Amino acid sequence: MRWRRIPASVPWSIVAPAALLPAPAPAFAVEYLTFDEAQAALFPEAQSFDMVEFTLDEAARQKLQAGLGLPVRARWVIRVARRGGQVVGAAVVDDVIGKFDRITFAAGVGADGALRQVEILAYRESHGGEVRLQRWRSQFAGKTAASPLRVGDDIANISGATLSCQHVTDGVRRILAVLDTFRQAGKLP
Amino acid sequence: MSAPRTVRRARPALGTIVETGVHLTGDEDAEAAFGRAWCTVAEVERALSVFDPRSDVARFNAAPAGASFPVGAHAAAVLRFARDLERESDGLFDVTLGTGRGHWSLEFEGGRTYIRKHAGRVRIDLGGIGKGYAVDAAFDALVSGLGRAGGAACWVNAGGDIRVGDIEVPIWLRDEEGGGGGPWLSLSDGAIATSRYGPGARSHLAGARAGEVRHVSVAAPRCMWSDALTKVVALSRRTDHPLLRGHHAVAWLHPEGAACH
Repeated sequence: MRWRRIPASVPWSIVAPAALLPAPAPAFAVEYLTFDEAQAALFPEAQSFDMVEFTLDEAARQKLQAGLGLPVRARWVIRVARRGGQVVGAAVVDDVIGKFDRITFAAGVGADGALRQVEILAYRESHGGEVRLQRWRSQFAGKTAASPLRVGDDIANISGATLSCQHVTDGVRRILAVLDTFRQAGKLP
Repeated sequence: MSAPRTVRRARPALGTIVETGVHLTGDEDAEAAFGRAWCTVAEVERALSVFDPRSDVARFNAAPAGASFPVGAHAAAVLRFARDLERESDGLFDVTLGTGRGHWSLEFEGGRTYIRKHAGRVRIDLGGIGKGYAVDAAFDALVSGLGRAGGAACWVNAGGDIRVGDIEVPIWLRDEEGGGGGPWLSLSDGAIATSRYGPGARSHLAGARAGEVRHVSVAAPRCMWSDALTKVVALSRRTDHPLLRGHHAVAWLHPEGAACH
């Protein structure tokens, strides 16, 4: 085992102009897969994917929210996986927000409505609110898991008290219920 | 030959987000290696889960006093280490979480490990050690999946419990109060685990005073050791506990309110 302490960097309070703001902890983020890469990983047997967009009417949305105990948005983009004309399943991407983290994930659901697998597309953790989150998110635009990455800071890992993945589990539950609603309405093959 | 590149994947597992990463220098099949690692994580989860009634742990918890039955290889490895650490730490480390330390035992017969329950009230919870073990097992599967029995430039991170191979990985320490964090340690060929106990924390420490916060990291050659030793350090409040030296481990007690340094 080999380890060394990374020397403390310049304190944030010195860097911040006039030190007007409380020092924010630097953000931590990893981009794992693009949606295209995730759908291929979820349905390796698929030959094509059709992108379809559905909107839940207000009554259906309210009913889902009440049933799940979670907020449900109206617009959903679904990638339908096909092989030789047969539908093999659907991939859906969603975001969940935890105490300090925001996780983008894709769920692959088979044509039988059963969950196949969940892949994390991006994990981002920051101090504080959404505005700051948006600001530092932009630095990752255009970077995919396939881009050549420098060995060094790019592969940083974060250690800490275990994060719960409960909000991802809730997000997956929401996708299953939404797909079920579209299927019952005859919109989804 | 492909250009050197790093590939990372993450999935929800073990009640957290588990990441596998590999730095590829040739045409190794990262997908196949990741597949082996994920299968191993699922296998360990099935064996050690308190919630799955078919797991070795759940079967023990449901068994009456006097029962004895064989356990699988994963449960046997974790229970053996837990038993030894319980004894060596004079009970600071206790997988029964106070329900009956010393009222369970292991027996070995015909190449199999049997667990025996000596009191009906004893419950085992491998939450303080199982995740570290799962990281080690997934790491081994990843290394062998890459065809590098001697070691490989790869890592596994289960929500902060990390095992790293032949690559220097910068480790950030999460600011548990405010989120985010900063570069803290650079680790290779070893493991690190961090635990935080206190009001509002996910983990609870039997024996700590109410309201007190203890935030501990332990680096060790294996993640199961790091994970388990965080409990010993948190309870003893000793970063020089003799068991650390015995496991080639180093410990840090983080001051509260200091995010990284």
